Amino acid sequence: MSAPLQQFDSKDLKQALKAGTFTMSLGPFAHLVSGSSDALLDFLEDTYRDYNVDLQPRDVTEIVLSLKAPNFVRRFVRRQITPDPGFDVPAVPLPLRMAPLAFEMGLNLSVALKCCRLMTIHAGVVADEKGAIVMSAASGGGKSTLTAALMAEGYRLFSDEFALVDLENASLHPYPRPISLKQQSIPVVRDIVGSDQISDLITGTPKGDIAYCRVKKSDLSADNQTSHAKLILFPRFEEGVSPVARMLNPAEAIMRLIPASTNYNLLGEPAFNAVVKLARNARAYEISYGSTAQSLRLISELGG
Amino acid sequence: MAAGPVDDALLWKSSADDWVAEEFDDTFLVFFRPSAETHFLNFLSFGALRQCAREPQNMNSLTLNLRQEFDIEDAELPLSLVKSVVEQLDDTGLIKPVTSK
Amino acid sequence: MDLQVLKIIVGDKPLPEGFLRQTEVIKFADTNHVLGQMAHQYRREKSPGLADAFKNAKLRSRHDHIMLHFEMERVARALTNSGIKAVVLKGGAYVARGLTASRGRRVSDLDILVASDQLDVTEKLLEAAGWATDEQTDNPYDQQYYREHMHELPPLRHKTRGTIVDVHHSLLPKTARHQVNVSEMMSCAEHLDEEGLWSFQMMDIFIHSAVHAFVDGQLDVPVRTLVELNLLFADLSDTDRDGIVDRAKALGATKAVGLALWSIGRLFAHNQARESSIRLVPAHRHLPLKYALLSKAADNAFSPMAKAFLYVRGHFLRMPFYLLVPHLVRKAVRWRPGQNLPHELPTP
Repeated sequence: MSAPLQQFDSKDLKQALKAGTFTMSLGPFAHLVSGSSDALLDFLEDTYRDYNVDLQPRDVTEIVLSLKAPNFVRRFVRRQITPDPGFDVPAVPLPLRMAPLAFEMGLNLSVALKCCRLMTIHAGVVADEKGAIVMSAASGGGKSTLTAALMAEGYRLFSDEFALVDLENASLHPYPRPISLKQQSIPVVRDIVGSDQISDLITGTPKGDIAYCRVKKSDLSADNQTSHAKLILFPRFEEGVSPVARMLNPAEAIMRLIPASTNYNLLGEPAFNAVVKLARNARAYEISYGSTAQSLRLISELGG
Repeated sequence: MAAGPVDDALLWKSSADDWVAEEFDDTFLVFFRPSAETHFLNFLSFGALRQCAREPQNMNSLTLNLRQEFDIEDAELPLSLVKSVVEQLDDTGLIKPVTSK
Repeated sequence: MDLQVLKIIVGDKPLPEGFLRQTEVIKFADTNHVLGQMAHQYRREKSPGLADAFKNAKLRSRHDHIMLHFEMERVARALTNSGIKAVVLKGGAYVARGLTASRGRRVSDLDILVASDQLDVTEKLLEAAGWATDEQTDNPYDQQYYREHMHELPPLRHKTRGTIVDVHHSLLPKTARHQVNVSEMMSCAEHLDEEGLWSFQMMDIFIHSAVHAFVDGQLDVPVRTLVELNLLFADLSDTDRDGIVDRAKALGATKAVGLALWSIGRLFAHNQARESSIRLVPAHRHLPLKYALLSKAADNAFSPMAKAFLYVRGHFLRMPFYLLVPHLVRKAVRWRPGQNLPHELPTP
């Protein structure tokens, strides 16, 4: 039966991963994972210890991730790993110790390309009892840092990668996976959340140094409690800039959210209706800031 | 750029069943069902779309109708402007010429 | 995966027991681009996860079909009043005619066929409407190669929509050894009112699919191709099935159609197809090729070898040897392995 990962024996987990029957359920998705590297098991036992898992699949799922060696030789010599979500991805083989990165990227790709039940927008989402804040930014816009900082302020983490928008009522579904931190953002977030909330550093990846910020247990147990967006932000981090917010017309916000969606075109009219609803019921701003403290102040002024 | 050959005699039509529109302060988001694309139109382009959905018309009548609908001076809405609006709408597929099969 | 999986996909055998096995079959069907076709075969009670997978697959193919209908309408628009008879080929034709073979089918590009003497004006009209030569082939070597030896223009990509149209003036490369009678097929084409374009008559649609699969060198997507041939055959009327042997002979497509019928007769236990195939290709002919096809379809341990065999064969049939060698050398030099590897994994 499904239970928090830390209640299982390492031996059983390892066997299930090897057999490809290891299942992790979170929010709207069940993930079926296979992979036999110890680096993956260590990462899961640490960063995913409170997540609900199963040693057998409980249903058919489309989110299937296999972490395997790129070829036969690489199973033995200078061992490497590639995420295989079941469709062609131009994935670069990574050294085995980077298994956590392959796992996280593989799952993100899988959700981005397989999910059709909800509209997926590449954005960070947190929420309090008054509603959710959606933050959509280009890579390097400071989205992850901001998401982690807001989580430390007491907001519930929904996701650092995806706003999952309900097609019926435009509510947001939580999908709280660990927050992926890159390079300079690691010490910034460590100062805010404390070092025991950050995974071991993985150095020298194609994205530079990376680490993962843990998710609060209470956020995991609330992974089916949806929320409505109150703020849509398009943050831009620029060294030394003074903080400023510019309000956006909902149509402008929508025209920026659409290209950030991985399945808007596929879903068609239901997604159009959902994104219109989402933007009509929230206020949208473009914000520029030079430090995390500034952005937190700005967001609280905007009613976050 | 137009989506094909254009001449002044062509009648332009649009089927209102093919799209849904949401208005935001004089701008319109239009979801076009046949292409599953979303377009961002200003009041003039949307006005042209609505006119062609009302009845098929050539570029000249469209210009006259738009001038009347929005109460715009002739000089402010020259035929050349309407022509470029028509070509852009043609490129999206939102309007198309009436053809005899 | 064994041959039984093919039968599960087309609905001739029930789904296996157990969520893990079912997930594997779904993944196999998806990887081979036939999950949508499979989804249409299963209407009985399903687990929520399976229902979801099938629903999503149908959604994806429905989206493809919308795009394809729109592209056909755009091509017809671009050719307005030009008098060009553009025949929609392959997936586009199946979708436009609403054939069983189109149900759940993924389609990306649109293929059209025009008469050779209308090729230039077709290209000009499409360019005026926003299509342009794709970057990859926009170089003198590829342009010359396509125009001198191929049966189609280099792919045209629409500048704003990014969709691709392949304009053919023949069904096989000029250099192919077997040629089919294209002008006869064109003269029997039927008008598609809604799209404003044309399509082959049903018998010729099947024959073209067979020719495409067994002569044109597209032998590395066999699962999808075989599933499709089976559905196309099912779409033929009784009269068409009776007439297919004579039509194949008349068009010069005896061998390709014979192999196609043999394959679906063998794989999907289709008696009528098997009997017709024997009238075209005697049972003992092309045995190595037949079994290479089967083992590739089954994706079993022999498949790398089978695939290598098929690939060489595909190229060999397409090009005389004196052209093949320089072509392969040229491609090897221009496309160094690893050149296109991205430095970073795409993150959504």
